[in-house]
Amino acid sequence: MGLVTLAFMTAMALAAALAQPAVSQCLSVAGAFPDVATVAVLVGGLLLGPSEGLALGFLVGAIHVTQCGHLGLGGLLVSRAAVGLLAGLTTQRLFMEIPLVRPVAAAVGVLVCDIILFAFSPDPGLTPWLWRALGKAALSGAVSPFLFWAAFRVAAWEAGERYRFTGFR
Amino acid sequence: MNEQTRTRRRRYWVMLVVLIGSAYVARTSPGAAERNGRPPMLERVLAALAGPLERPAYRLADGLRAVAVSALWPRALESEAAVLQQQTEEDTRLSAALAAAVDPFKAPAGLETDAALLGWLQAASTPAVVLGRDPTGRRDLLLLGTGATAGARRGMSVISGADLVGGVDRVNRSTCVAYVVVDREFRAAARCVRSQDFLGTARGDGRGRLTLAEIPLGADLREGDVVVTGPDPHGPAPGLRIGTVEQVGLGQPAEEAVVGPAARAAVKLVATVRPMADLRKLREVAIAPGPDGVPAMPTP
Repeated sequence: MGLVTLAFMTAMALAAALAQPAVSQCLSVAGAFPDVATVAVLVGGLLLGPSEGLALGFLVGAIHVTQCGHLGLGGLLVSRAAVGLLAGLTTQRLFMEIPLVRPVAAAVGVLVCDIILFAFSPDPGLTPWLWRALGKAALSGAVSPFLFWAAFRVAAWEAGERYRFTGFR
Repeated sequence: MNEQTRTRRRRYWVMLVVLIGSAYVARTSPGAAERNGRPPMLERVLAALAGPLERPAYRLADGLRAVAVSALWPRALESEAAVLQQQTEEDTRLSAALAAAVDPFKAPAGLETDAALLGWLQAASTPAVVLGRDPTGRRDLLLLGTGATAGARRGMSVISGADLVGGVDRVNRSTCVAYVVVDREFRAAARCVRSQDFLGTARGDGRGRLTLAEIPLGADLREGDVVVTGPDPHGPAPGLRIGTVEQVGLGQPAEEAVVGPAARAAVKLVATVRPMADLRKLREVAIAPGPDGVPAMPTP
C-alpha cells in the first residue's frame, strides 16, 4: 500500500477514535453500540499489514486512554493493538471478495478485542458482558461495510486499478 | 538484507514500541493520578490535541442519530421531546413533593444548612456538556466538555440540579472524564433524608444501581427513602441527592460466623439505591467544587 492509503487509514482511525465516545452516547441500542474505532483499526490492519495495524491499534488505544479513567489502561492499549496485528496477519487467509466476509470479520475482530480487554480486567457479571459484547460485535459488523468501502476505494484509486480487493500486498 | 527480513525487523520494532508504550501508560498513569491528579505528559499532549475535536465529533454523531431517527421513525423525535417535557414536569412535581415531605425534619436535622450549601454549590458550579460515554462500554463513564482550563479538578462532583451524577476522575486540558454514581469505582458517604441516619458508604454496583452494604446497626431506613450524600472530607459535598431506596434486606453473614452471637453481629442491613438522575439521557451537567472548595456553613 502507498502513502495515501496509509494517511487515509490513519485519519479514519483517528476520526473514529475521537467519535467513539459520542457514538456510544448517541447510537446506543440497549446498551450495545458499534465500535467504529476498532473496526477502523481492523480495516487498516487488513489493508495495510500487521505492523501498520499494530501501530494504528496503539494510536486508537492511546486516544481511548484519554477518554477513560485511570484504570485498565494497559488492557485498553494492548487489545486495540492486538486486533490490528491479528487483522494484518490474517489478511492473506480471508476471501475479502465475498461480501459477507467483511462484516463477519469486523464482528469477530470486535469480539476478540472485547475478550482481550475482558482478560485484562474481568467484569463481575459474565452474562451481561457477553450479551453486550455480542450486541456490540453485531452492530460493528453492520456499520463495517461503509468503512471497508471507503478504505478500498482509496486504495484502488492510489493503485490506479479498478476497485477490487484481491490482496493488495 | 531481503524484503522479508526488513518487514520482519520493522514488525518487531513496532511491537517493541507498542509494548513499551503500553507498559509506560499502564504503570505511570494511575500513579501520577494518585500523586497530583494529572495524567502523565504523553496523555496530556494527546488529550490536548484530541479535546477540541471531541465536540464536533459529538455534534456529528448526534446529528447523524437525529437524521436516522427522523428518517426511520418520523414521529420519534416529537415523541422524544414530549417524553422529555413530561419527565421534566414530573421531576418538578416530585421535587416539590419531596420539599414538602422534608420540611418537618428540617429544623431538628440542620437541613436548612444543607439547602444553603446546595444553593452555593449550584451557583459555584461550572456547566459542562456531555460529549460521550466510555468508548469501550465496560464502565459507566461520562466524557465532559469542560477541562482544566475551566477549573475542573480531580475529585470534584458532577451534578444535575440537586442530583449527584458522579465524580471527576481524569482531567484533560479541555475535557474531563467522570465516574457515574453507578460505576464500580464510585463511592460516597450516604445519609437518609427522613431519619437523618448515616448509612455508611454508597457504592456503584456497575449494573445501574448503588449498594449500601455498611449500614450501621439501628439505622432507620425504609424502601422509598431518599438518600443524600453525607459529610466526607474526601468525597462529594454533602446534601446532594443520590437516589431512592429500592430494596432493603439482610446481607449474608460471614462463613465463619453462621451461628451464635457472632452471626447476629455479622448480619447487616443491605440496601439497593436507584439513582435519582436519569443517567441515560444526560446531555448537560455541572461540575461542582469538591469538599475542600465548599465554605463552612453556620450550624442552625
